[in-house]
Amino acid sequence: MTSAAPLWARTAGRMTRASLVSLAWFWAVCVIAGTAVTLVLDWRLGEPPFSIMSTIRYGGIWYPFSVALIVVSATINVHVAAGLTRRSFVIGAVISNVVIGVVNGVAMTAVLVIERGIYLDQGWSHAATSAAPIPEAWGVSLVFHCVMFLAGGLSGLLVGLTYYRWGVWATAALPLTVLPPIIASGLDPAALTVAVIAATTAATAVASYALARTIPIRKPLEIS
Amino acid sequence: MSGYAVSVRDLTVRYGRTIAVDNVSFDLEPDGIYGLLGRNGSGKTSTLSVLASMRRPAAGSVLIDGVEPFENERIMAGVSLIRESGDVLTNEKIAASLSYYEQARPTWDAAFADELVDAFGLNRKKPISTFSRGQRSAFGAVIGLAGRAPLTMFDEVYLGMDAPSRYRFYDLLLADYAEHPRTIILSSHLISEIERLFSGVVIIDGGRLLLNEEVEDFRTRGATLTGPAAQVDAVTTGLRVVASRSLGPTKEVTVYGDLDGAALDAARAAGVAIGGVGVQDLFVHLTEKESR
Repeated sequence: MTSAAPLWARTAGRMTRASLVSLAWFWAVCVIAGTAVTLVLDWRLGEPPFSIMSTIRYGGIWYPFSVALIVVSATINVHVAAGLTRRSFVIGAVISNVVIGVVNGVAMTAVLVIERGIYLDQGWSHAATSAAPIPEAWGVSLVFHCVMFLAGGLSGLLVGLTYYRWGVWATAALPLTVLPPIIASGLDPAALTVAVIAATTAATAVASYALARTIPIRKPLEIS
Repeated sequence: MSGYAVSVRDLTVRYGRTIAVDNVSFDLEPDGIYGLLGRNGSGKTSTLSVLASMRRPAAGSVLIDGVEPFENERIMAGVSLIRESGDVLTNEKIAASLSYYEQARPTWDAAFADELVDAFGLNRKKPISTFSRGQRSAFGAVIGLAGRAPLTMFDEVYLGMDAPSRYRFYDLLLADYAEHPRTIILSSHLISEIERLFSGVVIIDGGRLLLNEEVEDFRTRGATLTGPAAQVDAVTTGLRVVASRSLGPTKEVTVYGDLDGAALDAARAAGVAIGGVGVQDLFVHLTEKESR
């Protein structure tokens, strides 16, 4: 039974629900592994040398990137074959990635705030590695991480679309299509950096929309 | 809901420098079962892909229910193209794909989909990626039939099925069409099996339209004439001979074109036997290079 909601809203809802399930597993595994590493370092070194949880950020960027890339190749043909428009697909995918980016950003900020409390309670320094500074204000941390994770997801969407459309030739476009998460991986929380990440991510969303609107739908893979 | 009318005008589809469909035009009335026939690489799939908004044409246009279908929400929701390997969520069980299509298609009949899954004996507990080619074809048939789209197209989906499954599909298609008339296009090489379903045929050859006729007209325009070679040659003078074979003094020719009653009477009077020709035989003869 079809609902009265716009196609893009239904698509966004479906994609978000599917992503949230895998995201719950991602965070469960990361937090358990991070806690285990922290305990081992406490046992072996007396205290962890830096914030272990802050290293999850790399996964927070590239895991949604991978998921978004796979979603394009696995579902765009089903979406159009089911009689739905490319427009609803790409708008739904962008909205879903925004929601996932925010959920990831909130989760990352919460994990870091809790970790900071534990570190300070134990008398440890909640320091970051030089490659991974942590914003101390939770509001700045939230914005920084939301933008960072959004860059990964939307870049995955664009990379998926370029490979779907141009095949191996899309490799030539990688320096542009993966630019936002590459910048984000620098993990510099300066306002200018966040603004650049946000701008390139917005450009990624616009490029995805333009690319998807006329994309030819390939034949499904033949099986023997 | 009745079926959609289809109007194709000067359609051209290119893949790089290769022209797959070259300036093809034809019309299909709503509520009919049409055969889209052509040899391998003739442009059938490319034509269907444009009708289903899978790709845009390089030139020309298609109108479905009077409007351009590409990215049109209403029309796309009413157009279904089932391709051989199926556009399904292959790593999931069939319930996931059925749910996807149910939410997308306003005409979807979930109860009928369940019946069809049982009728084809599909396993609900295994992911589609573990299905055989025949089972995937059958699942494509389920999606196409249960969708009840006003324009439903099957592109060679039944090739992977075994004979009992194919005949089950033909019977189910015909029964459901009788209850829910719509426009259906069947593309297949197994013409002899499905020609009984057709109300019209469109033949594409080498990317160009060869003919578009109602199936009865198509059949009556073809005939075999068998008899002594001299008499057969005499009565077929001026007719379009698309196939010919001789066995000693006896000759059989297949002719295609406007065969008027007087010509047929003259042939009979000359001792030439006249027989009908099946759609498949006519298709084979018309698409053989030497007949063009």
